[in-house]
Formats: sequence, structure tokens, C-alpha cells
Amino acid sequence: MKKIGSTIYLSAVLFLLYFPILILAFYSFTTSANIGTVHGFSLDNYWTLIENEELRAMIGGTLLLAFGSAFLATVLGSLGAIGAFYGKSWYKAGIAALNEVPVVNADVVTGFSVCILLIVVFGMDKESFFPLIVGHVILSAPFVYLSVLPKLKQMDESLYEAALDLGADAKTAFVKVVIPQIFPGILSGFTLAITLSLDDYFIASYTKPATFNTISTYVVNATKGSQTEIKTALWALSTVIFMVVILVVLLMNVTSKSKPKQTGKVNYIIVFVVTCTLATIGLSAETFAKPVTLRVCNWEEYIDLGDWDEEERIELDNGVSILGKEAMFDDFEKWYLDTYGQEVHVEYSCFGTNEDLYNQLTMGDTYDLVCPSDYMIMKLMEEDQLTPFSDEFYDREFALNYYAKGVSPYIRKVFDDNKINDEPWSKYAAGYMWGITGVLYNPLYMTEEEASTWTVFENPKFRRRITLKDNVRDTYFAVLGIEKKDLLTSQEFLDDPNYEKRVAEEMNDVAPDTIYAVQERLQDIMGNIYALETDSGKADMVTGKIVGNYQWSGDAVYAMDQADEDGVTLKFAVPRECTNLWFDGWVMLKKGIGDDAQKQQAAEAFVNYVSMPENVVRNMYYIGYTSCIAGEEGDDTVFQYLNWCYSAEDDEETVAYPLGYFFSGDNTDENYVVTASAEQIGRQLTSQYPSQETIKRTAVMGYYPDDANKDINQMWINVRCFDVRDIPVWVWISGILFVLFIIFLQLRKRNI
Amino acid sequence: MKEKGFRRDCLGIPYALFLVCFVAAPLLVILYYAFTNGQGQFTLQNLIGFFTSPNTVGTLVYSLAIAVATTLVCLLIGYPVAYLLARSKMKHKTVIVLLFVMPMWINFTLRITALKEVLTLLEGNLAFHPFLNTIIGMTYDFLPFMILPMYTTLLKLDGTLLEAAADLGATPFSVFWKVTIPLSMPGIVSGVVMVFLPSMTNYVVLDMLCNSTYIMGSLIGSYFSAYDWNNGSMIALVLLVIILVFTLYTNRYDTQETGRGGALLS
Repeated sequence: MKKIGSTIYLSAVLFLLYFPILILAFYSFTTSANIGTVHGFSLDNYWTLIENEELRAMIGGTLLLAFGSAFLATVLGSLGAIGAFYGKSWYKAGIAALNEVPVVNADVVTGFSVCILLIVVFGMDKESFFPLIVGHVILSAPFVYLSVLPKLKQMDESLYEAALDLGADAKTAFVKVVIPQIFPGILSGFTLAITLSLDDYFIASYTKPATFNTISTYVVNATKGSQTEIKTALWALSTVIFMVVILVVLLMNVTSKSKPKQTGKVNYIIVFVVTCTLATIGLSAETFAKPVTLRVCNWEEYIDLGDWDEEERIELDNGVSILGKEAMFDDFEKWYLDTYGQEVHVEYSCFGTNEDLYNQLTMGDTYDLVCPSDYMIMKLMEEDQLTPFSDEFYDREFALNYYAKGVSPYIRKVFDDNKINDEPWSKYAAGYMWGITGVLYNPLYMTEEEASTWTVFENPKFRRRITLKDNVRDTYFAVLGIEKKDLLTSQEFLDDPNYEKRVAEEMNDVAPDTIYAVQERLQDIMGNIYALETDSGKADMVTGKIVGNYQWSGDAVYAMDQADEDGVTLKFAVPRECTNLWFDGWVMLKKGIGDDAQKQQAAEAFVNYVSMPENVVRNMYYIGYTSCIAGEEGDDTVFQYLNWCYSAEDDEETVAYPLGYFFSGDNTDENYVVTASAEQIGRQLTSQYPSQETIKRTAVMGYYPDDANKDINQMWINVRCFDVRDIPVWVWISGILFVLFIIFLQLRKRNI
Repeated sequence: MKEKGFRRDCLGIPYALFLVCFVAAPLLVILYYAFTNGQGQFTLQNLIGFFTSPNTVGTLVYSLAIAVATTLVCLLIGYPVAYLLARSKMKHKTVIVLLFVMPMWINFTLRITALKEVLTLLEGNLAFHPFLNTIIGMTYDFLPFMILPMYTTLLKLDGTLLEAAADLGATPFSVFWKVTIPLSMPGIVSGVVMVFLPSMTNYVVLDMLCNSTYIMGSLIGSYFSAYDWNNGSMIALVLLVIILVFTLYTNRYDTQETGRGGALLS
């Protein structure tokens, strides 16, 4: 009876441990992107895992790192244990004490302190992998030490003496007698080191080079993202790891049944074989790395990665036919070779936020061409980190200057008019994508009226079903919009002749009082929202987890497209108070380009290549954002793409939607009026290309002065932290009672 | 020694140097940053700031609450598992034990991804129970680390002591309470160390399960990305001190198989 009880309990705990993994394993073999619905059996996820170069490199890199750092840690740790064991007592105690530090320390603190020492103090380059490897050795060497030491203690020292007496010299005796005796300890230390390295996230996150990912950092990035293909491929990955582990366990079980004497040896062989196989996989996956010339760093999911199906081919009315086969940066390499007769290798990597990019730049990562947003461009300009574009780049006579010829007059004006230290943005930056922010909503649950205001985030009707951005600037803007809603919508303010300028002023208000007011309000709002997200909101809108999502216009387009495929209709509303107008632009970094004229030519060519009308369409189709390029005179490819997307079917109700302000600089220009389906208003079209009225109530967010920036960052930390004053009295009382109880127990123990 | 050229204690020098360079030196740097301001002048402001701001203290309390709850839940679930495993005479005991350890080899981010899907399926909306979900996530992540050290200790437990206690008239409960528990204390302590500290700092679990409140780990990160090494270092230092107090307190139990280490493959 007792036995049954214990079996049930153990099985129940095992079930809880494995249930989620098994569920994922099951769904990894289906076509569905969300748990709960099954469409059909498929091995696509496993195929992606094999096919996707990024995934392969990430898995290979993780394994290589694990085995490399484990090897180093094993050598260091074992030798350390031997040295300490035979050393003087102070030496022994010193090593033992320092060895204990990484063991008990939180990984976050270990990673942080190593990063501070190597990167902040010594200015070391993360790209050298040195900080990462050191970090992982620190993580695992102490455990090797701890697993070798007991074996030394158990060892029979007289054997060593005997070897010496029989004529062996100290070295031979050591290698032939001591090492074999402690070998099991070394081996288990090695396995342990691999385990620890594989399970790590925190040390890698502080010390890894930007272009390198381990499984854990990759997963954390991917869960913030919205690429379902990657998400489900990761299910397959966890299933594969699960199976490998199960296999090892089974093998060990089989061998433990054979003669006990041989078990040890066979186990070593298994560990050895598994090690070799995995290390080979790691090595072979890593060799895909290419020699580097142009290092480009762009936002995640912000360029056409190719691989379109034939039925996705875009046939425009002007006879242009577009299909993305390869990733655009790969196509660029070929185009550059054909056009300029030179080979270029693009090392393409991604960043998640402007601050991440800036961190990478200050933490020693070097890039040549990056694509930050407006205020970050201003900051980099202010800090003199950028190389200006050459005069040839803006020469509109030259056929290959697609950017200079094609950029929209509206964007050109913004880039020329906005200045830092009397230098216009356009000197250093070439526009890539632009847009506004607003609220993506599900019209089944939220009316347009409710969505068209920043106060929607306060609306109790949508409690826990609406998200803000996990990004202090965007969220600050939205809450500032609520804070100033009465002013912004007052008739007097709207009638002000300097209306546009005043909106920009109000929405860049970073006075301490304003920041405080925003903090107070945001603290309340945090209780009403579902979460702060960066990318996952798009997918959550489609699955219905949330009904409203603070969103950038381009991501909103992407989400609406995705939702349409799943039969869900989403809409995008621009708050009536005002909205944020933003730009992302290509800038060249001084640190990377230097005086290298060839590199600068390649960088400028890259900007021109992504500004070619066909490529503009490819990117817009792929990512949903709006390009800054309108197309040169006589080439209406971009506008034709709009017609292709949005022009109405015969029997539909239509609206004339003028976009002359963007394409020709004159909104009454009849050549640039989309005759769109009426349904498109409030959907993809108006998100991708806001009307001129909407543009009127936009404000560009500048970069804040240092002290204001500090205040806003502190405000953000304050909002995210749990306020000690929020703890209810009963918790205090029970906490105190608990502590008293412990003290009482201790005292009683001592009295006995 | 016959040969002067080879001394076994010299073998430890590389490791000793390594520890000094990459363990001791970073601690000193942290210490330096924690007690200076941005201009490099000595200050106690960071320390005072930490203990006077309701936010940092709140974060500390919140992290402690998560850590205490996680540790208790892990202990409640894990101790019976370790006890039953150690006492049982099952045929495939090693395999069963390995099954409990195995999740450690799958990176926790993948396991939490799996858990998130299941929790979403059960709760529908994760945002309503952020604290509960965090505890579930942390428990799910750290349970194996709790079970193993306790299992190894209980395995070595001398059965004759229990019999002696029973023979002397102790009830099964008091045998358990007065003999088994005290004897398994080293295992419990290393299990608690393994779970308590990481659950104060593992902010990825919170991030992945839609809990946007900061804990100690995320606070360090947020100061780090704001280039405020000084306040970041102070928080790291506070954590270090907590850890130090913790280890000093627990050192009186002779924890041979320290934490996530020793026990894993012994």
C-alpha cells in the first residue's frame, strides 16, 4: 500500500516536470503555431531547424562554447584542486575561499562583475569572445575543483610513495598513479561544466558578442519576437535535446546492467562518443562564418529575408515583377560584384532596441552601417560618432544613386529641416523606414472611438487585455498624451497658428514635474495592462490574448496581414490627441568606416541598393513598414505597389485617398491618389501611409538632455519596481511573527 | 622530493591566478564602483539611496518573497521525492533519479517556454496572476536542483539509526522529525542555497511569464543599461552580502556536496 502511494507521488511529480516538455514535443510535429489547436502532422519545424542558418549557427556556437569552456575549466579546476591539496594551508584556504565565491554567487552578479571588469574597466572587445569564455570558465571551474577534491582525499597516498620507492620519478608517478585515481572526479567535473554552460543565460547575456547567440539568449530574443516559424522551430529544438538526453540516460541504464567492473569504462566511452559527436556538430556549424567586410546592424525582422513562394510574386501594373528569393543582403553581395566589380561580404546582425544598439556601440562592438531611430541618430551626431555621407551620394545625376533620386520629398524636407548643431540630419543619415504610433485593436471588442485616444490604456473595460511597449520612450509618450489630453484637444490649442510646433514642444516636455506626473499615472496604468511587450503583442492580438496593443504603424500592418490570414480582422487607430512621428535611418559609424574609402563606397551602395524601387517593395511587403522612398520621377513602382495592395475590387465601395504629399510634395497631385476600398480606411492603407491630416498632429520625439534622460530612466525603474509601501499590514505582521518564531526556535535549541 | 623540478602544489598556480584575476578582481571593482559616484569620488550615497528608496527596498522585499515562496514550495514537493527515492528499493532506481535530474540539461529558457504555453492554456490570461505564475515558473525551473542534494544526503543516511530510534520507542513521526530531518539537514541546506539565491535574481522567468515587476536581477540590468555602474554595483554588492550572510549561517552544516555541484553526478 505504502509502495503504491510513493509510486503515485513520484509519478505525479515526474508528470508535472515533463508535461510541458511533452506537450511542446507533440505540437512540434504539427503545423499549428499555437498550443490548443491541431491542424495536421508535419515535420516542417525540424526542417527549419536544419535549414535555417541562424539556428544552426546558434546551436553550433552553444555546443562549441560549452565544450571549449568545459575543457578549459576542467584543466584549470583539476590542476587547481591538486595544487591546493598538496599546497600549504594558507594557499589551500585561499583557493578554497575564492573558489566558493562563484559557486554561491548569483549568476547575474558574476556576469555583471566580469563585464564591468573586462569591458568597462579594461575596455575589452566582446567580439574577441574572451569575456564570454572567461565568464563560462568562472561559472564551471569551481565545480570541477569541487568534484576533484574529494577524490584526492579518498586517494591512497601510499601508492604514490610506493611508485617513488620503486624508482619512478615524481612526474611519472604523478601521471601514472595520481591522475588515474582521481580521473572519475575529473570526468564528472567535465560533464558538470558542460551542463552549467548549457544552462547559462545570465553570464552570456552580459559578456557575449552581439553577433553571437547561445540557445538561451536566442530563445529569450525569439520569445519577444513574433516570427512563428522560429518559435515553433524552437519547440522542435527542445524536443531534440530532450530525446538526446533520454537516449544518454537509456544507454547508461543498459550499461549499468552489464558487469559492474566494465560499467565505468563503458560509461566513459559513452561520454567520450557523445562529446565528440556534439563537438563535431558544433565545429561544423561554426565554419559557416564568412570573412567580414561590411558589418551591418539593423532592427530585428527589418529587411526582406527572401524565401518567398512563387505564388507570392508581385506583378505590378507597370510591368514590374517582384519576388524575393534570397535575403536582401545576400542579393546585395551579388549586385555589388556585378555593378562595382568588387567582392563584398555583408555581416548582417540585428538589435532589439535603440538602447541595445547604443550599448553595443559603447561596449566595444564595431559596425560600419547601422539603422537607429531619429533620436538615436541625433545622439550619435551629437557625440560625433558618425561619418557623413559623401557628396557623390547625393548626386542625383548619377544613375546608381537610388536614394538621392528616390527619397520622398516629404522625408527629404524633414531630414533637411531637423538639425543638430546646425548640421541637418541628412548629412549623416539616409531614411529607411518611417511611421507613426497608435493603437492596434480588435473591432469585435473595442470601438474605433475607444481606441482613438491614449486614454484607452486607462480604460477599465480592457483590464489586462491591452499592452504598452517595454520601452521607456514610447510608453512615456503615450502617458504624456493622456496627461495632456485636455490641452491637446482644446479648440484654442488646435487653432494656434503655431499648432504643429506647439505639439512637438508639449510632447517633448521633460520637466521634472511632468515626469513625476507621468510616473504617478503610469503606476496606475500598470495595474490595467496585460504586459509590457516589444514584439510579442502582434501574435497575442491574433490569438486574442489581448484586444488592444500600443503599436508602431509598420508592425500594425504586419499584424493586420497576419490576422487576415487567420480570419481575424484587426484595425489601427491613431489617437486624436497627437501621435509620434518617427524615422529609422542608415548612418555610417566613424569607428567602423574610418578612412576606408572602399568600405564607405560599399556602405553607401548598400543604402542605395535597399532604396531601389523593387527592393523597397520587397522590404515593404516582407516587413509591413513604410519606406522613405517614393521612387524617382518616371518610376512609379512604389506607388503601383500601393495600388496593387489597396485598390478596390469592382463591386466595392471606394474612397479616394490622396498621397501626393508623400510622393510628389503636393497633396492635390492627381497622379498620386489611391482609389482604395472603403474598408481599407483604418486598416493597412492608413497605417502604412497616414493621411496628411494625421501627419499634422504628429510630433518627433527629440533626444533628451542627460539629466532629463536620467530622470526618465529613474521614473521607469520606479514604475517597474515593487513599492515597499504597497505591502499590506497583515504581511508585515505575519513576517515579523515568522522572524520572531525563528528566533524563538533558535533560543530554545540553545537552552537544550 | 627526489626531483626539484616538479612540485605538485605548483600545478595549482594557474588556477590560483585565474581566481585572483577573474573572481577577486571583479569583486574589488564592484566594491570600488559601489562606493564612488560618477566622478570617482568616495560616497555613501549609493548605499543610503538603496535603503531609503521605497522602490529598491520594495524590489528587495518582492525578490525575497519570491525566493521564500519558491524555496518553500520546492522543499515541500522535493523533500518527499528525495526521501521516497532514497528509501525505495526499486529496480531501476538510477534511471528514475536521472529522470528527475534530466531537465537540468535542457536550457531553462526552453523549459519556461513550454511552461508558458501550458499555463496560458490553463489560465487563458497570464496577466491576472503574475506572482503565482512566477512561483510556478521558478519552482518548475529549480525543483531538480532542490531534489538532488537532498537525495544524496538521504541516501547516505544510516538506516540503523532509524531502527534504533524506533526500538527505543519513538513513534514513526518523531523518528522522522527528530532523526531523519536533522540528519538530512546538510542536503536541505544545499538545496535551499541552490534555489533561494537564483530565484531572487532570475528575471528571465518573470519576463517570459509576463510579470513586468522588477526583481533584483532586472534592477542590476536596468542600471547597467542606463550606464549607472555605481548604483548597479551597489545592488550587486547588497546581493553579495546577503549571500555571504547566508553561507556563513549555513556553513555550520557540513555541506560536503555543495549545491548544484557535487550532487549532480556523484
